[in-house]
Amino acid sequence: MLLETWWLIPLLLVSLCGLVCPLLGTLLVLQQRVLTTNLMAYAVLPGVVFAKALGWPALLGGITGAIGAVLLAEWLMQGRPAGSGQAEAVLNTVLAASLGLGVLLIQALELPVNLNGLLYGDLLVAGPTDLLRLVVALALVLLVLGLRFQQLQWLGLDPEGAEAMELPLRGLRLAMAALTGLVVVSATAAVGLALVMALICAPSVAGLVGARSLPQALHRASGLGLAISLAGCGLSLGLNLPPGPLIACACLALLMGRAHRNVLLGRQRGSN
Amino acid sequence: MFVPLLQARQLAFAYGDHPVLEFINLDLPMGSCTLIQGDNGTGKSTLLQLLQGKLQPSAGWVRLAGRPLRGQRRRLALVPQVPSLRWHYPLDVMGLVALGCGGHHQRSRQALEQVGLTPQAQTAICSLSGGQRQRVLIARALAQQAAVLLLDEPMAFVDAASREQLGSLLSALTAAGTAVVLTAHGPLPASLQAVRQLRLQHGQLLPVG
Repeated sequence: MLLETWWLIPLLLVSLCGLVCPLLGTLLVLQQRVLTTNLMAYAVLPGVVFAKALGWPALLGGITGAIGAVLLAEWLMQGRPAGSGQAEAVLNTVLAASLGLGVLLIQALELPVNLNGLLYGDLLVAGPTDLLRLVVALALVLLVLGLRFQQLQWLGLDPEGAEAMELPLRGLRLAMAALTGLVVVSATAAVGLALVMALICAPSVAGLVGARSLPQALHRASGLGLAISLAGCGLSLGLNLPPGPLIACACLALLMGRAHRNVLLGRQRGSN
Repeated sequence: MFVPLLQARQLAFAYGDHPVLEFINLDLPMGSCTLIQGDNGTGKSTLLQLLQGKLQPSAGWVRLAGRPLRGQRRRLALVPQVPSLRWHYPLDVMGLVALGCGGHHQRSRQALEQVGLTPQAQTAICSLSGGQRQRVLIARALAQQAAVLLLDEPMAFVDAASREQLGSLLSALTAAGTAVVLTAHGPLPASLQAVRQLRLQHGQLLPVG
């Protein structure tokens, strides 16, 4: 049994996912781009399907679909009053339509696509290519953090102030969009498009509680993400259930645990 | 020939079909302190945003040291009445100020000292009071070595003691050569000296008194 290595790639995949999703997620939460990221996750589906039909790389199709959906949503949101709730309505409509378009394309083109695997993850069919994609995604996230740390701080803290200082942030915004598409596509094998947001958001939110600096928040988030992913993977083997949904449920348990802890701490402070 | 630090000529601005400012002319020398008064909705905040280059005028121009604003906007620091800054961001006071000068620690320390926030250097920005937030944004402006400081209603959310402290700080800044423009409704603190007063009325800027 110990000589069998079938579990190695799925384990490495899940571990890398647990590291890279919360790293990117922390930046996205701080930049208030979570809704847009959710849209991108679902818009990957029609992009991947279209790429498969044309014989293009799935990664290229996925990123194109994700960025295309964001541009479409931004165009539809133009002229709508800020804070009116209309922007959210538009984003969610494009999200739902992207999912619908993906499903329609699969049926209409009669493509041999494992829809469940794309939406909820399928570690057992993951291969070295999926692993390499995640390694590249992690490397790029770390590179952007290392080379553009101050600019990332501006984007998350004070984008209007950055504009007033004439800081060149447009390129960084585009890089973040492309990086988000890459991470989402890369995480498909482990947790799937429908569930990746849990791994992007929950460890990031938990890591931000009480964090005194961005590096501290990033370290915490990636540590929590790794722990959750490995726990989900372990439970999956023990219970013979798919890991993606288990990881998503573990993310919810993390947030509930944090909320419970905050309530207890609040009561303690009140009684003192 | 003497060239004022900041010049605005025939400045005009409209929100859609609604004109707000017309034929605004303004000269700000180095080390000057100018108060712009006016009722709500007269365009005081709009004027400050035009002077900083955040808004583009429908007519007229603004120049800093005789040159267009483009490429120089970091020398004009605008502290708005309601900053859009995300105060829940994980950062301490020193980190926020250092952002204004690319992480230059000595400049950040000096700026914090000038605004009296050295003891709060390691404090998380989410814990700051309204007055402290004003001062930390002024410190960031000082760290970025802004030649012009534009303050929109800086006295609005601070108590009397903090107003006097702010007044002393602004007086010290003008004495050091920074041009300060502020808008205010109520009376100014006694510690703020040598203030030129202008009034914005019906889209025009007029001297007071």
